[in-house]
Amino acid sequence: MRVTESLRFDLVSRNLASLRSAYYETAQQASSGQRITAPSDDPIGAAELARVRASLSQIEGHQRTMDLVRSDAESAESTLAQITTVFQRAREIAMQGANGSNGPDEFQALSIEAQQLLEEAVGLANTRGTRGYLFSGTAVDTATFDQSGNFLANDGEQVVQVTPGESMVVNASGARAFTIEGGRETMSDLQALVDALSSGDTDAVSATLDGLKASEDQITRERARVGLTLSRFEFNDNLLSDLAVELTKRQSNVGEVVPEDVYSRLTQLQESIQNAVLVGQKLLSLSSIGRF
Amino acid sequence: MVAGLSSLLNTARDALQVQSYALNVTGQNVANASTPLYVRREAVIQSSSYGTAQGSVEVLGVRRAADAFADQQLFSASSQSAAASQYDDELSQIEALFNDASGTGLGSVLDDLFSSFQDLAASPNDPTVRDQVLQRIETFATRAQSVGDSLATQSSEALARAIEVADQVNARAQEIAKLNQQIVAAQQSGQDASDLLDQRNLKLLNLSELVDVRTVATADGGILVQTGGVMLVEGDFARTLSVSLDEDGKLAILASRPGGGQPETNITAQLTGGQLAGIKEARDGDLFDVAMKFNQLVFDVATAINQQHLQGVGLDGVGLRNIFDVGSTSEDAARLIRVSADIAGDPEALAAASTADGLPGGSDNALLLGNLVGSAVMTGGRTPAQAYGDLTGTVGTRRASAQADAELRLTVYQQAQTARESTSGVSLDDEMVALERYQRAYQAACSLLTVVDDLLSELMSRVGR
Repeated sequence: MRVTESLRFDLVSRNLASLRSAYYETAQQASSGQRITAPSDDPIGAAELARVRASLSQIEGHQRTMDLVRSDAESAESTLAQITTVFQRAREIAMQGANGSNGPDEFQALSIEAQQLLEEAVGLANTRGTRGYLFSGTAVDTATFDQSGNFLANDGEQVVQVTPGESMVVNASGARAFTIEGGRETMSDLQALVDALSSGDTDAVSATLDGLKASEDQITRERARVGLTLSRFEFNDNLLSDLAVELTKRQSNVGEVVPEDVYSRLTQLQESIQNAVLVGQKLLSLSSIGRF
Repeated sequence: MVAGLSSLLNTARDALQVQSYALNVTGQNVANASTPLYVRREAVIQSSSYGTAQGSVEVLGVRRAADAFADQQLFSASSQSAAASQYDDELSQIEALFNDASGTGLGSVLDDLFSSFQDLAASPNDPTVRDQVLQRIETFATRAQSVGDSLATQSSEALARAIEVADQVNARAQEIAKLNQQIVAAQQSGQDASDLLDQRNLKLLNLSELVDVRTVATADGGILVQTGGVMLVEGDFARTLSVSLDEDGKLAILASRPGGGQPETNITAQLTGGQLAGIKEARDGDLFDVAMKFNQLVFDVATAINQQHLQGVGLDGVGLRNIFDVGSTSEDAARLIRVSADIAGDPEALAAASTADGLPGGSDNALLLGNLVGSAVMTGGRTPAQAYGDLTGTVGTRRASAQADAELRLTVYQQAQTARESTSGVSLDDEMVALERYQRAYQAACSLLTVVDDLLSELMSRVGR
């Protein structure tokens, strides 16, 4: 082949240019840590990254959702626990009132305490959380009970998506815990105790015992359900964290460079460029230009 | 019979003339060693004779070391390379709009939108959350619009570029036609047309970067140039190309008819090379496809969200509100999408609850809105994230193959350049040797002249005594 001046110069400049461009690309990967800087670098990988990113964002969404609803569920659980102690105390008072040795003064004192317990129970049932009244169903801006212990709210459920495949009810049901919906009108049972004590009727007081026990059990059942929800949160949280770890691993496998690889390639290219410059110098100095 | 000394003088004169002519040609080659498309010349020298015995030398002219085949290869490789590289350029602009790695994509906006519905399901009556949902809705609409607008702008810019390229084609074609005329005239009058031929090649190479070029040499030194199946230049006549839009909004490339006859010849489908072909393929093929798919995506997302949202009621108990205004078909959906006036600026209108009974804590509708992220609500039974992933995958694949093609075509072009350069280019090695040769010959001719001169004066001195 006849080698002309242009060929000589073109050879040197083309080789250098292509090495420089490879070097630039590799340096870009090394400095950003990203293997895919544009979809065309690896279309399949880029599509995979988009899916992984979407899944990760969904998982973060679920975790955030659980964080948002968890505190309400926790307050509901502890509030229900406190209300059960109120009912336990009420049963103690009922038993005291039913033993037949009480005079009018004792009945008076017991009835005052029972009234206080009723008010305490209503107050606790009207506890507010981040969304509003904890036990009001979806009527979160309405108090669950009025002062006389009448249920004002509804049994609306709050359902949220907690994992990609599972949605669950996260609010405690005031209706089921405190009203006939769950079997008994709990506040009426307390009211009955107050009424029986005020009237000083030992038999009537004794008759409230079963109701109070049933009410306490009813509230405990709802508390257990909320407890279950909370443990479900924990389980899902772990599940989501594991999933997120897997996805993050996948993301870095697909989208990130292996530092050793990219640095060794960078070093190789650096040497190649130096060699190309040396060869270029040789090639150009071989020209007859010196003779002219 | 032996020729006289005086004719030997003529021989020496011829030799001097011929060698200095050849030195001139060499000088011209050296001077043009780096001139693009310069074809090296050689002085064509042959022996001649005065009468029967006296030998001498003469110049027949200059020979261009041209190779029509290598030239044609160069032009067609240049057309292909220019088309591929233009196509790649155009696609790189589309790719830039869907590059989630650099944060320009719609992917994260889409993710954020759906996860904000999940937040709404968790806190349906929290004004901050509602504000945020509304903001995410606005972000989605404006981002979709801006991508849609950019795609439309790219399309109209591609049209402008095509028109510009066609103008350049017309200018080059005119120049080639004019050079044809000059070359034919020069050759008819026996002048050396080498420079004109070089110039014409340069113009042809320029032309080949714009459109595909096939050349056929004619006997009179002119050249026929074929582009997209029609004669673009024929002798001293050049057609003009014009670019307009057909009824589908795609490029129509028309070639005028000789004498301005109508209708003009539509060469759009036949055009295979040069920037014009690259622009056409990217604009009417890929850009069109991508815009259509993107419009479908935006339309599907907006419609699915609207349909679910219509089922619920806002905090005020009012239902049947849309989130997006997007029109009834996917056509131009990305550019037309707006946040519906039903909810714009009114976060309380977001329907988290499905019935007024469930207010204000009801969030079942928000749950369903959030669940759309994993539902096959998109055309083709895909989820929104999958559909978007498919779209970026398509864009990436097309760009990647365009890049690979551009590189391949460039290599082929460089090979064609090498082949042409190898036959027609200037090698300073060659020229140095030639210079040496003609210099020596010139010096020898000078010596010859001196010898003849000496002999003649010797003769004169003896005769004159």
